[in-house]
Amino acid sequence: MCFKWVAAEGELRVDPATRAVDASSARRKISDYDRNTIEAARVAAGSIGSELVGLTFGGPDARTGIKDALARGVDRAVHVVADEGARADGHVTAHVLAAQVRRLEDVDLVLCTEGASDTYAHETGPRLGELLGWPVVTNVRELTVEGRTLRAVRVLGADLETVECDLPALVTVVPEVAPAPIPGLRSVLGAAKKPSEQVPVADLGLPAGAVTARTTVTSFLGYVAARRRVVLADGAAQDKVDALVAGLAQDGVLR
Amino acid sequence: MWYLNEEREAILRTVREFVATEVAPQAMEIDASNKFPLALFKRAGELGLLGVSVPEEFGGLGGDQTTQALVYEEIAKSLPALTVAMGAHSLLAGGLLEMLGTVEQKKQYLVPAASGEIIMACGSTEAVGGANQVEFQTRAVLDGDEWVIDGGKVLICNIGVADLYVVLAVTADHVDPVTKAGISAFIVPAGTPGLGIGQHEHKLGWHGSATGSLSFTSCRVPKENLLGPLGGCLQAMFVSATAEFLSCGPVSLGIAEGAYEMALAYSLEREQQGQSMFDRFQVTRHKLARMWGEIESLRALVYTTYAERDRGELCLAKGRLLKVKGAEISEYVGREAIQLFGGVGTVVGTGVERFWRDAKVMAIGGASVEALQDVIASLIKRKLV
Repeated sequence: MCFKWVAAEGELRVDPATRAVDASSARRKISDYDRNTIEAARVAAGSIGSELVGLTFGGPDARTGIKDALARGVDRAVHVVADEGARADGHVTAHVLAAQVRRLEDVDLVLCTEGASDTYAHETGPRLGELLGWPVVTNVRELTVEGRTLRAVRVLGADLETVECDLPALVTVVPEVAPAPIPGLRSVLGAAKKPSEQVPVADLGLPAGAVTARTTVTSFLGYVAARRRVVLADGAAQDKVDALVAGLAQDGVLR
Repeated sequence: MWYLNEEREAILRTVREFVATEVAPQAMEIDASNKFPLALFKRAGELGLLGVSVPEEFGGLGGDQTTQALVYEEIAKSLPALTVAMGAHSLLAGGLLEMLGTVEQKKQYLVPAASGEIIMACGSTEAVGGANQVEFQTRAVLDGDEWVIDGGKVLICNIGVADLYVVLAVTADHVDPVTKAGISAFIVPAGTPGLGIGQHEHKLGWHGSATGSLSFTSCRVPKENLLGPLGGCLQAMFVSATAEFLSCGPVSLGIAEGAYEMALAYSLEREQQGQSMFDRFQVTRHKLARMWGEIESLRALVYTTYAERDRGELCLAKGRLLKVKGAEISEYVGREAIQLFGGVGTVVGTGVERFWRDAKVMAIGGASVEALQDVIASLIKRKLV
């Protein structure tokens, strides 16, 4: 399964004047949705007696995420390290993850989350599946593996669709796939004894085109609530209520 | 922070997740209802938070005291009463069992206690003498193969929810005022005939900690329920009490941080005439700066003391100092936080005032800071810091 080490959204600071986002003091964490994916992958691997490998691509600080993933049930972990890893776009991330998946032996199933909690771009999973040449099943909320067959229940708005495909396959899951349990301290301490590996991205032997981002973030601004500072001070209570309702309707808040 | 390492950071991640997803959403409700947070206590056990420093052979993680302190600090930022229940369970009752118990007793009680399968309480304080053991009235007399306990305890945490009580009782004609010899510890399982459980007191703070009285009326326990040497448990009690006083440091730190974070956020968000209180009023900025400074000074004292404890020092005086300074600073920060909230801060149920209420009880619960200053004075006179 693939996971991402991200800044905690709640700890990002936005300068109200410039809207510049400061993530320097924000703690890092495994993307919230990826925690659910780890649990779904742990259950799936356990049901067929397979090893669960956690895979991440990111800067050196993602090493901490490796320990966290191991505590949450991953059997072993691989961290593909690149200083620019955290700024890679979907194109680069998918090529790096595909190269590393190929280096692992006998991979039957790769789970990704629909999107990471920082970018939520929805593209890494499908891109990775395409590069591996495997069937891709998206928006999955239930999955089972029987023999060499994957059966998955997909969420289509209010409807559910069940699909099957042969393994190996790539699945992207929605958070409802499994609640993420909090790892107990015994698991946290046990994580240090589990195997993990750091792989420099250069060791993957990818061509320059594969590790060159095709999109560039030109601006990243925070959301700042704009206050109108309208005070309805005149008139009786009913007049104030009427004025409030009219104002909200004019702004489209009330219809 | 200098006292954090990779392992402690990893443990903190689990604790923060537990607090954010399970403790914080219930904290206000528990404060309002004064109901013991049984489900949270059990969850703390499942996650390993009750056995951090319990030896691995008895079901714990075998961790150090500093790690235990980090757990308490983090939980106290949201629900201090839960740490009070954890301390009574793990440090007071658990500490006595660990120091005085036989291997069989430790296996029987410490192992399920570390996982939260059973809850423990410690019955020490009495109505007449308070925490002064020389004046204890509760007595235990050997009758055949049973100890018969008569007397009562007050202000005991975890009453009614505990599965067993570690109870101190006089077993000699009198208690030696110097050596305190003559007091013994007993394991009294809940449901033992003659053991009476009082009502939960509605205290100023620590709501939900299940505090109240115990009564013993011809309460018979098997002879083998004696814990440690006959008449000689006070040394262990002194050490386990030190562990509890030490824990008041990180708990107070967490209380102060909880209040400070609320006050800082409110000062930055609350606007008057187009400016936040923080930007508009110098007095607001100065109050917050001083609150932060006091918190950081307490943090330094807490974790340097815990580092000494982990190096094997008893920290008899410093342990008590943590309770004294912790109570002072958390009460100060809690009071100033209410002041910064203004009228809103005085409304019970808005959240910030409960930190001050919890801090106020820190200055008294377990032992008053005045009584502790006296003990500290006697310890520093003998260079037993």
